[in-house]
Parts: sequence; C-alpha cells; structure tokens
Amino acid sequence: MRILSVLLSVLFLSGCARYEVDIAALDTNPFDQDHVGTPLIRLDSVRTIPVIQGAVYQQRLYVHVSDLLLAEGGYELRMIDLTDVDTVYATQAGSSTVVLLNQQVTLGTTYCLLVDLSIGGAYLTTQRLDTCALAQL
Amino acid sequence: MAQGKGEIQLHVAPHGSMEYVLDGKERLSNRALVLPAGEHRFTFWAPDRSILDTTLLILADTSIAFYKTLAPSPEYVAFQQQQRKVRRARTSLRILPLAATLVSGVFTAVAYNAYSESRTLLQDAEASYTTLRDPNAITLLKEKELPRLQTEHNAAARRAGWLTAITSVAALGTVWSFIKAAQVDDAPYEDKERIRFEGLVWLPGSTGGHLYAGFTIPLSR
Repeated sequence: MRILSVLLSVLFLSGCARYEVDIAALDTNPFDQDHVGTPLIRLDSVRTIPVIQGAVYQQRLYVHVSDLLLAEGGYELRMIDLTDVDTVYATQAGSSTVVLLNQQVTLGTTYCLLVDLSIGGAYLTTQRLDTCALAQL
Repeated sequence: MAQGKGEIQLHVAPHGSMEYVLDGKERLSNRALVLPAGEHRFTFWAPDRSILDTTLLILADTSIAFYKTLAPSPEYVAFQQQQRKVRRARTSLRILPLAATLVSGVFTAVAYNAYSESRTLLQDAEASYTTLRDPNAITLLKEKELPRLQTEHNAAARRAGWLTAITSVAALGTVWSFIKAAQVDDAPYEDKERIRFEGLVWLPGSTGGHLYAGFTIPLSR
C-alpha cells in the first residue's frame, strides 16, 4: 500500500511536470492567420478622381500599412472589384499609405471591393478589408 | 627393566589450535614431547576438525616427527555447505533488486534526458511563434510542429514518469531486500567433535577430580 502511494505520487508529480502549449491561445502574432488584434492594414479612404475630365474616372483606395508590416517588407496587396470582377495588385515599399486603383468607374455606381494582404504568397484572411463605395466626385 | 626415552615432534595441522590427549589422561598442546619408549595413544583435535585417535610408537633415544593434517569434521563440512547456501541466498536477495534498481536508474536517466530535451524543443518552438513573420511558417508551426513536439513531449514525460516510479519501487525493494537479507539466519552449527574431545579427559584431584565437558552456543549470527 505504501509502495502504491509512492508510485502514484511520483506519477502525479511527473504529470505536473508536463509542459503544455495551448496552441489555440497562440494568436498574438499579427502575421498569424488566426490573429485577432490590431490589423496590419487599414482602409483610410476611397476617392473618385477624373482621369479625363467628363469621360474617364477612377476610384482610389488609400490603405494604411502598419509600421510592423513596413519594417518587414515583402508584402503585396490584392484588390478585387466584385462589381466588375477585376483584380489589381499593388506594392508600395517604404510608404505607410498604398494607393489601389479601380480603373474606369461609372459615376453613381457603387463598387464593392476586397483588399487582401499577402506575405510570402500566403493571403492573411484575417487582414481582409471589405468595403462598398459609391463612385462620386 | 629400565625403559629408555624418546622424543616426538608433532606437526599436526592446523598448528595454532591443535590440542591432543595423551594416553587418555593429559590434555596437551605442546608440539614436542619426551616420552618413555613404547606405544602411546594420541587423540588429536582442533576446532571444526575430526578427532584423530592413533597410537604412536616412541623409540628409545630416538627423535621422531609426526606429520598429519586433521580432516574437517562432517558437521563442519555440512555447516560450510549450508552457510554457502545462506550466503548465496543473502547475495541473491541483495543483488537482484539492486541490479534492477541500477538498470532502471540508467533507463530513467536516459528517459529524463529525453524528456528535458523534448521540453526545451517545445518551449523553443512556442517562443518562436512571436518572432516569426512568415504566415506559412506560422501555420506550419501551429498545425504541424507544435502538435508533433507536444505529442513527443507527452510521451517522453509519460516514459520518464513510469520509469521514475519503477526505479522508486525498485529502490524501495532494494532497501527491503537488504533488511530481509540481514534477517536471514546463519546455518546452525555445533562442533560435536569438540564435545567428544573435551569429554575424553577426567582428571582426579584432591577433592575428587574434575570432569571436562563442553557445549557450544552459536553466538555469531
């Protein structure tokens, strides 16, 4: 009985010494697909600009890039125009604001746009920006 | 008719403890004697040896030497055999659990080393999460590396735990076996030849005489 209690005590102590990693709780890294904190990119504004006055207009998305992402570099932004089904890629190293262009928009039309951040070929779905903007001067 | 005398030198082994009774009267231990010529009865004895009862012829004006080694008594031979068995039993009782403890201890040390290594690897991998900047590498870390390292660490911890428990039990068993081994009694022994030898001489004195007798109390246990 005494031996059994010693055995159980030792097993209990060994069990306590086991190191456990809570993988589900690992979400503090902004480059993680599961990150839920401060985003690496943020939509500043959407503006409509005339390219040829009275004829051709474009929408400009101003996306703010965090210092962390700037410091890291090697990223790419992808904008998908869900209204016209059009995709635009942009990278602007060294600047905290990246401008994405949605060419040839029609005034008075609402365009729904998705902006994805890609690093090393992987799209961070948690960093996705989703907006719908009316093309107007 | 006057009898001459002769000398006899006794070289009876074991020399240090040998005693003898001369002509059924005197108990002696000296190695050289001058005796009247003729036959004399010698009864030799030494502890744990058989009694040797013999008659030696002493020649006048002659020195003779007698060489003999007393054979171990049958009781002593049997006692030695029994004692060897007791010693073997004691040794087995001590050695087997001790060997088991040592072997188990070595395995435990190896297992504990593996456990420590697996723990370090797991902690390092966990720490790398905060410094990684590649989403693919982070995903790989969370979906493959950490679960694999955690599984390995759990197995190593389980192994180390079991082996520690086994070694503890073996160590307790070793202590118990040493206590038990100390309690194993020595084989019983009685030097019957000594009793016989000491009963040979009865010396009459002024008050009637003394009868020498002997008995043995086994004190060494």
